[in-house]
Amino acid sequence: MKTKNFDLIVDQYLDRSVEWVDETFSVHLSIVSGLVNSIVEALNKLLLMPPFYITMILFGVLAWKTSGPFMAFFTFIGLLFCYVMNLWDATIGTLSLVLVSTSLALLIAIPLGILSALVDSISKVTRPLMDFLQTMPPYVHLIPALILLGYNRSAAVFTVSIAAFPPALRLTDLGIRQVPVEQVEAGRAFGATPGQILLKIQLFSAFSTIMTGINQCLMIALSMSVIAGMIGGGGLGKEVYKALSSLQIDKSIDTGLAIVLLAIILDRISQGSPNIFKKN
Amino acid sequence: MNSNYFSIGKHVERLVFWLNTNASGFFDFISDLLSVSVVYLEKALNYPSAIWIILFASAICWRISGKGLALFTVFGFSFCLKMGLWEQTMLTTALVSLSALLALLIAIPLGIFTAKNKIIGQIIRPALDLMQTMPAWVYLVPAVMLFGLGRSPAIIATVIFATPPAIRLTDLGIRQVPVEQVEAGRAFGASQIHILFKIELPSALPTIMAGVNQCIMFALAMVVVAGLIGAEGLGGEVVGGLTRMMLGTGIRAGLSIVILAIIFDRITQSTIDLFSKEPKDLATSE
Repeated sequence: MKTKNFDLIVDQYLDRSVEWVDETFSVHLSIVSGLVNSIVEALNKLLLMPPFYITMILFGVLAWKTSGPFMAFFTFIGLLFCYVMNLWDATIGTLSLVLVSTSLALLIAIPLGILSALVDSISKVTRPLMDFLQTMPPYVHLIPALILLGYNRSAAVFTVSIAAFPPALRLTDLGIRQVPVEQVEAGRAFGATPGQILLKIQLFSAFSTIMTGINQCLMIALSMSVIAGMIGGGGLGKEVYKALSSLQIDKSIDTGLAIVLLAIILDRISQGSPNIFKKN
Repeated sequence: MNSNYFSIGKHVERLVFWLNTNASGFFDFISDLLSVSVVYLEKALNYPSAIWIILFASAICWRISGKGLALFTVFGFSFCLKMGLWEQTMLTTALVSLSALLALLIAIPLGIFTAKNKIIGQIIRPALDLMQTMPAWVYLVPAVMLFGLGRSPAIIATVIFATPPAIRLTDLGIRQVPVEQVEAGRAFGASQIHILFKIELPSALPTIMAGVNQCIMFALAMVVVAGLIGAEGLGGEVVGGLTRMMLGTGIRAGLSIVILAIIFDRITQSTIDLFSKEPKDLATSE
């Protein structure tokens, strides 16, 4: 009986503090959520504006540039498949959600990764934090997002970014730490400033590890974006969730296939993206 | 109405319906078997009072990992108890351990098989990719159709989700065994089975344990999904909190899942360290 009372009291306090957060920060939060929402919406509209075959061809060209003609063909056919299965809008919805949240995650992860590689006291804070975030089962992220931002796309972006940024941070940190000391010292011997050493030596040499981090970030973002369909992320996640709650096997399997295709396409394009820079 | 777009799912749906009408006895049998074993496991975990379980769990943590984790276990489990979520925590523990066990029973032999046989490996690897990329919600629907609502479809979906990493890491571990060791065994006239059990498996043990760790973590990630289809436990509380906007409940249950995940993760990671230290200790003692 006692334990029952105790958890009810805790519930009351939690509810009250959630209300307090809502009331005090509602203006700030609604600005943030409106901003993020409109960015996702704008990207979504931009991708849906041209007829579907033009978007497909554009992605095909991107895949050709990054990983060759076979991947270009696969991308085109894969996206055509999504269109034929009547899931084109949902696919683009997921794509724009993933792109916005990955960029947000990278905006946080890469600078923080650089900092934690250069300053040991920061890495002492970030490492256990990353451990904690990566041990956390994926659905738990949904609760704070729902509390702070409500049932909409910005909550989805928030959850997806939180889940996606740890690997990017870790791999940026790792990449910079793996830069040979000799290279840095050579730079210093030639009188390079710390900024120059960072940009021209360390980041340059860590480039492929950071790209792996970006790839990982993108993949986790895609898998989280499906889960975020539960709290208003839209796109394919919403379709699967709808299919699950109405027990439509055909719809859920089609959507699952579309997600797999999108995952393969995004994976190969991001893995091959260093090729673009190499040619230049 | 359905014919105006192309759909692979429609054909899978037909297959599932066919299985449902023609093999329902078989699926019912498996469903009953799974739910009964979960019920007994849950009863066994709930039989002693919570304090004994907490003490026992923290003793195990102390033995395997050290004081830090033991303390964390005491505080974490007391948190679950005080939050009025003890039964749910135990049910989730039962669900996770049963599904991880089933997944490992499938994954480790299969991993050994794929490491030994290249053709099977080449067939299985893309299938594993597909299983891991496909969102778990997708195979939840056929699982519910075939096994009904409740705990058994949740276990089935969890097993499907948690098997691939364990297969991959077992496969990797066995293929990483140095060729010299296997050849030394062969030179001494060891049979295939001897080589497998006495050379390859012990040498691959740390990697296989990493697979076990991944398997358990993936199973824990499915806890909330399981809650979606009525498996109760902590996942059910989180889903309830999310859908009924009872955020307090959601937060409490979410924190308990995180606590459970941290405990499981650290225990299995410490066993990896134990196993990778063991050969060295043997070498120095002999």
